[in-house]
Amino acid sequence: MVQLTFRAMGSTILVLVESADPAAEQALRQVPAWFATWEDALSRFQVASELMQLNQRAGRGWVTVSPVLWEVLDGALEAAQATNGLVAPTLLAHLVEAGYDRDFASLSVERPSPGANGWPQKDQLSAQNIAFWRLIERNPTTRAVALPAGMLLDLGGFAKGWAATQAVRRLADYGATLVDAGGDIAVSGPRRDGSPWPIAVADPRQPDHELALVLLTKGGLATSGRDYRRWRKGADLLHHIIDPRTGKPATSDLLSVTVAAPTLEKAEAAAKAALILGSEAGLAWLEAQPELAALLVLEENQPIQTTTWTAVCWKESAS
Amino acid sequence: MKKPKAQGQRTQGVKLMISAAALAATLGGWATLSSQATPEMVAAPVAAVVSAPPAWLLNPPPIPTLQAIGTTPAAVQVPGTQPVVVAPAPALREVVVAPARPAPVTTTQSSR
Repeated sequence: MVQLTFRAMGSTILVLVESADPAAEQALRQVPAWFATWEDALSRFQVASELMQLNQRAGRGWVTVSPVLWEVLDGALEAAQATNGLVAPTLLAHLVEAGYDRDFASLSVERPSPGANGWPQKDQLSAQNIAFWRLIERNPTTRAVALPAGMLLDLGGFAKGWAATQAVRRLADYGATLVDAGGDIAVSGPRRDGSPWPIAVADPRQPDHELALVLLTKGGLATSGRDYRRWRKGADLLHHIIDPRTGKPATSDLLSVTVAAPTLEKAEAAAKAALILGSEAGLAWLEAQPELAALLVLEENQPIQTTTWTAVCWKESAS
Repeated sequence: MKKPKAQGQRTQGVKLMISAAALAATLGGWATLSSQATPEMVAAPVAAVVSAPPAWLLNPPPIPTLQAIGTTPAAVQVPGTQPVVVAPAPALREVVVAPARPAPVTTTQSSR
């Protein structure tokens, strides 16, 4: 097996390819360049990125975008549709207002930035965020996008998941592949010997402790949590998962949600939506989708899980 | 001139004489052939020589039965031989070997 680790999109990226072919190792060396290209198009932290240029043209008509931005935006809007707007790409202004206006590594956890110049003021933020994304216009013939005035897009975790999936697709020809983008994981299929990929689920309350061992043979596994990307703003402890219904970081009894799904993009969207909904509504929403398997970790009390969860996990044999 | 009725009676008599002669010849021929046949081969009765059956056939030894696990094996003796002690088969226990827990290749957690 060949392996590569590097930093991109504000996260640690791990790539595994089960192959002895020298061509696989050569392909592996190209992965950081792929991620750099995608980040140049999709990052909200790069003023010159294609995404930020689109944001700057909000309210000023049609903008032709690249196939990469078109495809990622299309997936993000599908996620918005699937989650009834709970996971939407239109919350950048709220993220900035909450204090998350730069790469997390640059963010002072104790004293967040008051907001960069040029960002809309609070009273300009739409109160209809749960459906705001529906106002985005797209022309597939010209691959053009028109954003309404005041809208700012952030593709965030969705872009990272998309990138991981693209890397898996490109490397799968060389052998069984796994790409871990900051804890969101995509696989090409089973391992070379037909066995599943064993992936630990970290306990957000005790990072060195494992809650479960998932055996993944297809699709993706994602965790959404408010345990890491968080900071203080005055007396408040804020985090990066915005509830579009309030425009503020979600108040939830859930600390993290891990979801296994047929694709990494679906896993990410489902994990975030369930965390925003909270344990009771989140579990019910997940249970209604049998292709998903999820583990929900509460700040207090034991984790809860969907009925489909045990089927994707390693089971300790009874003695 | 001769009368026709008398001529018919003489013809029929000649026919009868010819038929009788033919029949006699046939029967005579059959008798001759019979007297020339090869006598039938008949095995002479032979007295069967049967030796006395061996004693073990008359009194066969008991068939060794499977010994219960842990019991003392019985000696099985065939007449004319030394007794053979059959060692019991080792006790078999069903052992379930649980597969080893695989080591994780990576960990999922909220975005790092």
